[in-house]
Amino acid sequence: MAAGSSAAIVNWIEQSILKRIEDDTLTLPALPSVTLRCVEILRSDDFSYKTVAAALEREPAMIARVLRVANSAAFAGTSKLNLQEALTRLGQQNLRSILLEAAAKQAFISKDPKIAALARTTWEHSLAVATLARDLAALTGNDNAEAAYLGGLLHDIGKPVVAMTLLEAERQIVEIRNQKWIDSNAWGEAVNSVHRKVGLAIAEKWKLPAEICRCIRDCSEYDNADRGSIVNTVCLANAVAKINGCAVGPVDVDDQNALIMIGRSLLGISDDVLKKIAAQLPERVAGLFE
Amino acid sequence: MPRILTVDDSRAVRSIVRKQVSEMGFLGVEVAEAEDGQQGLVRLGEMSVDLVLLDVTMPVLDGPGMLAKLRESGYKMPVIMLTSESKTSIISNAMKLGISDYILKPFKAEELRAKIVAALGAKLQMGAAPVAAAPDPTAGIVAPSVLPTAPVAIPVSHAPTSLNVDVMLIDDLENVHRKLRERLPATLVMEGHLDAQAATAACRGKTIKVILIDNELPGVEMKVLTRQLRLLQPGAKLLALALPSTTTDLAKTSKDQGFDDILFKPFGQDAVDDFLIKFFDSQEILACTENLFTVGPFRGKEDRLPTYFERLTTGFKDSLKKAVAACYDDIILDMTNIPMRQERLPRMLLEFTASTKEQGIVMKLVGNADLKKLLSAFSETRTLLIHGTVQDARVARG
Amino acid sequence: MIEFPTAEKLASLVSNVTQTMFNISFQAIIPQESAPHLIWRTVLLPIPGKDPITVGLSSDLQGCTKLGSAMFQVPLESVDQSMMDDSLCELANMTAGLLKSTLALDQALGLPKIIPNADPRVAAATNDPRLTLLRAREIGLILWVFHGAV
Repeated sequence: MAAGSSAAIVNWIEQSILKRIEDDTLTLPALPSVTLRCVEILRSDDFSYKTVAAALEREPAMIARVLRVANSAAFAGTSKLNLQEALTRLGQQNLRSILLEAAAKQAFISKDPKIAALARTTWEHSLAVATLARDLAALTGNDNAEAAYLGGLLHDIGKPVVAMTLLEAERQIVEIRNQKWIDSNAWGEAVNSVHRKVGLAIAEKWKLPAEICRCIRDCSEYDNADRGSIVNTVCLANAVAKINGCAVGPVDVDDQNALIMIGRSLLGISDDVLKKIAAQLPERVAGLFE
Repeated sequence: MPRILTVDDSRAVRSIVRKQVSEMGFLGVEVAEAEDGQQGLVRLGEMSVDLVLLDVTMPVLDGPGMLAKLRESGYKMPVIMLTSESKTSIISNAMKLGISDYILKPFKAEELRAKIVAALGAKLQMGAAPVAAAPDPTAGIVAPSVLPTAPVAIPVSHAPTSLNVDVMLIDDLENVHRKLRERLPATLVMEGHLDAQAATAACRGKTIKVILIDNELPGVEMKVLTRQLRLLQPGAKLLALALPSTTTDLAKTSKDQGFDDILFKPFGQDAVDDFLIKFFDSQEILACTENLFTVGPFRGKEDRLPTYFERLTTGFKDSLKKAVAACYDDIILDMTNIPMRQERLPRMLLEFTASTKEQGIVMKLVGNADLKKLLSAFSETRTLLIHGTVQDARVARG
Repeated sequence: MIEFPTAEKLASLVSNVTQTMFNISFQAIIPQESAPHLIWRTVLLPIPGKDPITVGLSSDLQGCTKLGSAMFQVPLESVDQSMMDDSLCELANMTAGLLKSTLALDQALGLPKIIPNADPRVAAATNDPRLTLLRAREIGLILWVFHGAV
């Protein structure tokens, strides 16, 4: 395929996606109504776990998940917990993460073999970034480590949506119009050029807090004027994940190493501590997809 | 004598670097200056340099230009970029030319200090006590207590109350804090936090011996918290504070969560004393430096005294073996801090005297007037010579 | 064209530098006052590239002396002319670095340069809406941020 036509297709795809975002016609993953309700309850200053438990009643799968996590080794106390005890044990921040994580994961599940593997790798990369960002936030004194986790988890939420949209476009062009499709490099370029805007549209639809939106929009570069911010934490975590084998597609090692060096100075983390945080990262996130 | 070359077109920055290096307290560290890359290369030709602090944007020859030329000329010393520039491609290219670290301006003294220490390592020798910057609550960098041997750069986000903490308690119930404080000896420094975030923030810049964590702390994924605490406090023991359970294998669960041990709730004085013996007394009951055995004070309730004397006896036997293996002719047993208990002390001392004699070693005793008085009341120990100070014992003939 | 941050945000960028280096914070004076006396000494720093911009700082003798004293960590009476110029240049350099990052500009910083008061850019500067007036304790500063490289 000629480079020119490939570039033209990529440009057409980008413009069409941006137009669909603007017109509100792009199909974005919906947040289940129960999740949306719970997240709204958790956002209010005077929320009660009783109200959250009542809202969850209509969603047995989510109740099972909450109970499983609260009774898992990570949170386990000495006795089995009922739903309200489980919610209290998990706390506001963890609960929000668990609900949004379950919803977000749905966006990364595809039955189409062409993008299933890519979506899965993207989810594993996101989990790696989330885990690192949470540790970095806690170690650098940021008082909102859970927001760093969510920021890391959702920073690439637009990618699977763009991938799905590209798949639809491919069918139109190849099967209906009988034209050639773009190569994998151009495909990756198209995803990278618009996924943040799509991610932001999802964030708006899901009513995510501003700090999470900032992670989706700006996490590929630091804000030097806001040293210990969540977005800088996620940006460093993103680079560390990529260098440590949790990446989607090719990685520019030099650029990522430079980002890590700058991030270490911004956040005040030594190389030694960073290596410990990132130890066995791929093993830690592998299998979490299931 | 290590030498640092600071290359920056700003005289102010060069002056700050010079001042901060002089305040680090290392012996004979020299700072040379150059105001651009060209001048920097000239300086390198004139003197031996162990570390270069290099700005990026400078007139005549910029930082990357000087870096390329110095590497071409075969200089292999570490170079730290100290710059307002954060353009990824510039830093990436500098990394290819072998910069060892990077400091973004504006910078704090703590970051400069930590990175200089990391770069120069063994070349640095401590002189007078460094002018320690007070831990800065506005996101400074570095845990001051670990310098200069372990330059781990971790920001300080909380002004610590004490740099050495014996016990940190993390529990959301205030009564647990009160009870533990009541049951710990007043000599132990205890710091309490009601939530994990406050505790991790307070961990920076301190050395903590034991961290006790309520294993039912709301909103905390224990495995994550223990991993973070281990990074912040690699030397600390982490203990779960848990209610006994008949349904859960707490030993296994707490190990999976990253704990070293468990302290069961509700803890009585006995449990706390056992905890003290396990985590604090091993070094304090009998400290040994070469052939000097120093007996530590007894802390705890009276009914724990037998345990103290048992541990002292065991500790003495182990230490004696080491002294024999090291071919010492004599040992000095400093009992200035020993609790005066007439029912235990004379008998124990006679055992010690017999053991040392068996090994062909002379035991010299150091103690205060109370000890002399106590031992003189028994015919078996009346003849034992008690020195007033360790120095007296050292110079005394066996 | 790039949109510049608000006066408050610009003040926070300058403060980010001065707070870190010598514990001084600046506030933006809103509404803008006319302060021609502050244009006693001026430094301009270009950030050339695809979206060229210029960052500059001006202050009066008192401000420059206090900045020099804080930056060099010396008594006020020890601050000479070159120390004042150098401090203003370095403050402009660090502020420009932060501004560049805030604007996500992938362009390298240029060199700061002291501009003579006779320079037409300085002469025309009074009441220029592109200037932001900042104050901290007894230091008055004017921050220049405008499109185009000098």
